This record gives sequence, structure tokens and C-alpha cells, in this order.
Amino acid sequence: MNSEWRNRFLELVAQGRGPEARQAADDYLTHSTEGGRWRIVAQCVRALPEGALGLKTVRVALLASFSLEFIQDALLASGLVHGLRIHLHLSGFAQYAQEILEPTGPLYAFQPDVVILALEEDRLLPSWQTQQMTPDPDLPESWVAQAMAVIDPLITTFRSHSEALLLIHDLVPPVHPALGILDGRSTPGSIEGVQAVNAALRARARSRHGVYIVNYSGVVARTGMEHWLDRRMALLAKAPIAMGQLPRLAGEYLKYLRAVAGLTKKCLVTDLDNTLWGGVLGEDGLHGLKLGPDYPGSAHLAYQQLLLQLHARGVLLAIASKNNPQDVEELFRDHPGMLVKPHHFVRQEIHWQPKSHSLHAIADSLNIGLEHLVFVDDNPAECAEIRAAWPMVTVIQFPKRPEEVVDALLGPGWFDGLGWSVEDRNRATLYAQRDRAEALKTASSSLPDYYASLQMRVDILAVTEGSLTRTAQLTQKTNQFNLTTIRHGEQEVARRMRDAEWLILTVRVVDCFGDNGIVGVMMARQRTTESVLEIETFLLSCRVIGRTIETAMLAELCHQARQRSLRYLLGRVMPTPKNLPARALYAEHGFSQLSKLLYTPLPDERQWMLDLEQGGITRPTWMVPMGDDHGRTD
Amino acid sequence: MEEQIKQLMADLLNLNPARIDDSTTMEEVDGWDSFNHLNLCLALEQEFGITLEVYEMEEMTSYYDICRIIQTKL
Repeated sequence: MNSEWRNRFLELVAQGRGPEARQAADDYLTHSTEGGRWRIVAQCVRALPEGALGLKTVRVALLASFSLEFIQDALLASGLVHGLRIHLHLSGFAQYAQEILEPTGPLYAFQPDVVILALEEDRLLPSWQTQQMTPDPDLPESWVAQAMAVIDPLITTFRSHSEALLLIHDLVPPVHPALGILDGRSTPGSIEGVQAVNAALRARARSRHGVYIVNYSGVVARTGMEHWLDRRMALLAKAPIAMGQLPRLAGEYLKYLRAVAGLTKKCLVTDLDNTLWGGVLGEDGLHGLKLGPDYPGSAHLAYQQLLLQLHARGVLLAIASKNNPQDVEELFRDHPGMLVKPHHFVRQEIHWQPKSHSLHAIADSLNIGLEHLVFVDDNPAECAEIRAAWPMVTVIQFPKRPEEVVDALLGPGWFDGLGWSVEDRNRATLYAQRDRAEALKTASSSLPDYYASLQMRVDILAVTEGSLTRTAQLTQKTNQFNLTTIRHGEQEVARRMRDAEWLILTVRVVDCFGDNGIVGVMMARQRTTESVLEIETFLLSCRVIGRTIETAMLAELCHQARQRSLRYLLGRVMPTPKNLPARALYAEHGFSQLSKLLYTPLPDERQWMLDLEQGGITRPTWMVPMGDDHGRTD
Repeated sequence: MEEQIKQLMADLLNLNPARIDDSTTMEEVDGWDSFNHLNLCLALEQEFGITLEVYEMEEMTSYYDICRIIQTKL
């Protein structure tokens, strides 16, 4: 059996079938008992040419005060499963401080996207060994002061040389305090000291952009210190983490790496029978279902609770079920135990068609790619159908022991993103608003009447520290109305924000249904020599397309170009399989297509030019003027 | 078992598995330094699901000794 998992994986890699190979790697790593499986997958990854299997590249530097080298295989292999080709830089043994402080050293030369700083207690608290033995009346403040004196200069220096994401481990509270049960008895003890240091680290991270505290103590707690530590290797090679546990730590890092690469999942599609509840509605009837305080009904209730939790985070929920829609409607109405309600779901596909159709319809109606879906179903045949039809969908088979679903869903952090924008939390509500807007469209007699009835206020403002996260996020996830589909990380946007050559504008739309938040981004570059304002990025969330907001955006660019005494607007268009709706933008606004392309065009690129001396573009009259609170950011 | 050990040594120490025999020792092989040695010991533990004692790791300085010690652990 082991060799079957392995061979299937190796075969798919050889055939270059990306999504299938990633799935096969997951199966091999999860189900095989071969000791060398992480190494074998990692070797495969190392041998891959750049861009193979559709993987996204992420450059990761590992800086540690102990030997963390052995994590390499686990990190590369998990990266593959999650669609990433990870390139690693390892600091010399405990050389983390030197590498951060040396501007021309190997760390910055590597040009990392993400830097992980893993320090042990004795690095942040220099007299750790002795100080925990004597009660200290100044605890925990004295420890916080010591730790911050170490970490602050590292963060500040790092930020002055690199815009990479910085991940810092938190500390693990001692499991065997030096003072035993008297720790913290007369004065605050070492457990409180470490907790205070962790709280201070998190506060520091909050005040810096792109700095995050890895919940290392939480990862250790999930396993337990006795299994986590290899005391033998700690003393022999300063490699304290047991080999078998390193994939768990790699999994924690992957949550961040996936988010950096824009691979955060957006929508959870759930089955109903034996998933949202126990039993089969069509056979057991509404009152025969297992859903309530008794096991296994309590486990399905816990799953519903989990869905509500995800909904509150802004994850979209949808249903794909083979059932009679009337039965389900009745159940939602009459079953007293249901925690989730119809309004929590943005889409319900309840019929007898194949679920591959349902998932396609769901992704389509939400204007998101299938790769942003997580599908949960108890039936292995349904799971297999989706795996075969849409290998890019993450399929989670609802566990035979329903209580295990919480770890299966939350463990890998599928829905973790780096930014916590208001838009995320309101997204589900916003999609419901869009449906109402479509209803209104059919009710209005003429288009201008319809636009006026929307009472749109379009605020176009320069990007700020507060809107950086959202701006980068939009470049990462907007596919349809995106003229060039050039993705940017937060660091790159931050860099451009400080560069006078670049004009970065965010578009916020408020309408009669509510505040849509920031839904559009423009990035334009001043080309003084040719008197050109070059539009490198122009995108608008599909929630608000078809409402002339794009015209208001172009009008703003005309205004900006004139202010800078530039004569031409240059629009770039890179056709992708998804951006068909956007490609006519420039033609529809009076731009002429260039036969000879400027600058360094990408393959398939088209360019359009507007001469502002021949005329410009004006803001649509049906829009409401900008409000007083237009400086507000989320 | 011999084949698995040879394959592991070949992968981790960059050797041709066909050329590994009883004369392959830590002294003879260039890349077999103390770091790679620990890496090899850990990989052997994973591969065979065993736990090595520190003194066993110290004794496993040749292909012959690796086979001899692993044999006693299975």
C-alpha cells in the first residue's frame, strides 16, 4: 500500500499534472507509514524546474537560535501540497542577529518574502537559567523589558533593510518551573513572566506592519511537550524538536506562506446529510435526524457552530446536497436544533445533479475561482467525484468520527489571511446586497435611472498605511475586472507608496445598500520623458462592476495626469482566461489601440492610449459627491 | 533492509548506491560530516521506526556498523 501512494505521486509529478500531483502528495504524506516520505517528496520538489506544476514561488529565510535545519524536508513537502515551491535560506547556526544586522549579508541578498525568527527563552531573557530560580519582585515587568531590549533593535533594523513578512515565535511557558509548585507564589513567577513577554511581543507586532507572532506555544501545546522535545537531540545537536513533530511546525508556517501567496480559501461548501446533521433527511425524516445535545447529534451541532464561527470571520458558506429542496426548506423552518440558518449561505445547490456541477455554479455565482473552495462531504464517492472533476478544490471528507471535523477543518488554517479588513467580515452581507442590487436593476426603467437610484458615492483616494492590506489583497484575488492581473504583496505596495513616481489610488464605494468598502485599485506610473501616465494596475471587485464606477476611476486618472502636466494616458491590457469582461474598458472610453507597444511589454500585452489634448473623461453625473468622512480608512 | 540503508545513505551523503559496501566509512566519505551523520541517524530512525541510543549513533560510523546495529533493533 505504501509503495502505491508513493508511485502514484511520483507518476503524476513526472506527468506534470499539478493539482493531481499535489493531491497525491497529500495522500502519500497522510496515509503512508513510510519513514522517508517527507524526504522523498522534498527531493522531488528540489528537482522541479521553476514554475513547474503551477506552483507559486515563496522565498523563506529561517533564522533560529537552535538547529532548525531538519525542518527542510517537511517544509518543502508541505509547500508542494499547498501549491507552493518554497526556496529556503538557513542562517548559520545561531547567526540570526548577525544576519539581521548585516545589510550586505546573505539574508538580504537572498531577498526573502518571509523571514521566520525562532528564538528560545535564553535569547530573549539572557539570564534565563539563573533568574527563574530566585523570586523576583520586579516580575513580570523586568522580563518584558529584557526581552524587548533584545527584539526591538532586531525588528527595527530588519524593517529598514527588508519589506519581507517577519514571523517571530512566541515562547513556551515552562512545564517544569524551577520553583515547582511555588512558582508565582510569593511574587509573580516564570509562567507569568513568559506570558507577559508573549503579550508584549504581540503588542509589538500589532504596531508594525508585516510582523506576526507565530503561535509556537500553541503548536507545542497541541502535541504536548513530552512528545515535542527530543531531549537527546537537544543536548547532542541543539536540535530540540523531535523529527516526527517538524511537519506540524511546518504546517503552522504554511498558514502564513499560503496567505502571502494569495492562496487563502474563500468559501466552504458543505453537504447536508450525515454532515450538517446526522442521518439522512429523505429516509429518517425531520424528526429522526441526529442533531441535538446527545452524541452523535452533539458533534454535528459542533460542526454547525464551527460554520457560524467561519461565517463571522467572513468566510462564505454554501450548500451542495442531493436532496429535495422542499424537504430542506421545511427542515430549516421547523427543526428546533438548527444553529445555521438559510441566510448564512450565499448559495444553496440542492437537487440531484452531480456535485461537480453544483461547485462550478457556486464558484461562478460568487465570481471566485474553484481553487478558493473547500468542500466537506461524508460520502467518499462524492469526494472522489469532486477530486476527479476539480482537482484544485480542497476536499475534506467528513470524518467517520464526527468529533474529528474541528481539527480537520481548522488545523491547516485554510481560511487564514494576513489582513483583517472590514470587507472580510462584511463580505457575506455584501454578496447578499449585490443580489438585491440586481433585483433593483430589473425594476428600473432606464440605465441612468438605475445608476441614480443606487445613490453611489465613489471615493478615490491615495493609498494609506491603513488601506495597504486591502490594496494588496485586491491585487491578489481580483480576477475578472482586472486589466493586467499583476499580483502585489503588501511589501511591494508599501514600497511604491513611498515612491513619488507611483500613484496608487483606492476606490471606496458607498451606495443605497451600504458601505462596500474599498473595491477598486489603480496603480499608475509617471513617465515624464514621454509625458505619459502609465496605468499598470486597474481593477475593480466584481461585486460592483457594471455601474460606471470604472468611468469615474478613469476620470480621476485624467485629472491626476493633467495635474502632473502629462499629456497621455497609457492603458495596458494583459488577456487572461478570466478577464474578458474588462478588456473592452479602454476602447469603450475613447482610447486608441497602439500598434507599436511602449516600455517592456509582456507577451500578449495590448496597449491603449488616450490623448488628453483631444479630450478627457468626466465623472458620471449620477454619482453623489464625496462625503465628509472620505479620509476614513478601514 | 540492506537496500533501504544503501538508498538512504546514497540520498543523504550523495553517493552511488551501487558503490556502497563494507568499506564505506565516515572517514572515507567526504560529505559524511557530523551534521550529515545526525541527519542520517534521524532518517534511519524514521525509516525503520526505531529509536537509537546515543552510543549507537556514535558507533554507526560505517555501512557495516549501521547494518549491524539496525539489525539488533528490528
